[in-house]
Amino acid sequence: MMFDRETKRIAQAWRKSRIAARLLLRQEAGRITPRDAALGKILADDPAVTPRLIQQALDSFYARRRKLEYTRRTIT
Amino acid sequence: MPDVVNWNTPAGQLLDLLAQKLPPRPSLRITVFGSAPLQMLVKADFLSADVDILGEPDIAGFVERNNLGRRESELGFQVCGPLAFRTALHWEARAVSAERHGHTFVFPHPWDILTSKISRLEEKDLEAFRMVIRGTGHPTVVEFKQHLQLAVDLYRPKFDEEAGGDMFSNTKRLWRTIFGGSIDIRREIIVPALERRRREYERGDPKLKERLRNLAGPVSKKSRAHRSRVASRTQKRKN
Repeated sequence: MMFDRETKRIAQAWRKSRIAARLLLRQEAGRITPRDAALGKILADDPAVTPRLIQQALDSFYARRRKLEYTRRTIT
Repeated sequence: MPDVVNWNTPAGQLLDLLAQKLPPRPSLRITVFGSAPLQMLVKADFLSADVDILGEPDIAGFVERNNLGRRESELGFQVCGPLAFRTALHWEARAVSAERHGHTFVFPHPWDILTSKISRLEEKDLEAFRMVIRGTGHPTVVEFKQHLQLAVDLYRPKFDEEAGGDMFSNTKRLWRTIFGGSIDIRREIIVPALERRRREYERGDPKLKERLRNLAGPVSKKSRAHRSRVASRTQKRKN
């Protein structure tokens, strides 16, 4: 169905952007491998991976990390 | 916002009568706007010339058949389409609703009612502002400025075919008359609203893709070990 195909396409863009965001986080942590760098180039050339989606993914990772930190603080 | 709807008012009694007369099924959802919600939520003796309602298309016929429309001396309904009530965005989230004889009546927040009155702003509309502020102590200048930022689209230029008052000059008049001061609409309403809209639909930093293209950093231990293994293997082959 047309709708399913469209949903799948959007989900793919979102998934690829999340991978891109993870690569940027790995760079921040100083854990980039040549394979990561090569993948980064491929994703940077992919029009479906937009700065807005990467930013959303980064925000979600940061929020998750903060939530985990908060939960840990609350528990201890 | 007062969350108790006073049905013991002229508008309340008329709405109650409508709810009684309507067939119990299907259950209808009717929005009440204009001055009637101010009468029912803020001040019972606030005058309302008619009761403006938005409802399903066939409700206009029902009102007419039951002689509940606008009459010369008595309070009656004016049934409008959804385009008639123009106010701040997201008004439905601030509205209160009350059930009467199986039907739901939705009353927009008094600030949303006041906002919808600015494009006309006759003397009775100014009186509505005075009454709400006297009765509740709100909205203050700051509160109403922020509220009007949610109604920023009302400040767009009108269509050629569109009648009605000018939001710019009416807002300035409102500020002079009610809040006792002047207002720079572009600087205090339009620019902050557009800024909020831009922030809320952030396009993302274009530098992120550039950073992604040029990923590089300290090589991890694992990768360093792998590289040295490859290098030593190559060296052995050469030897």
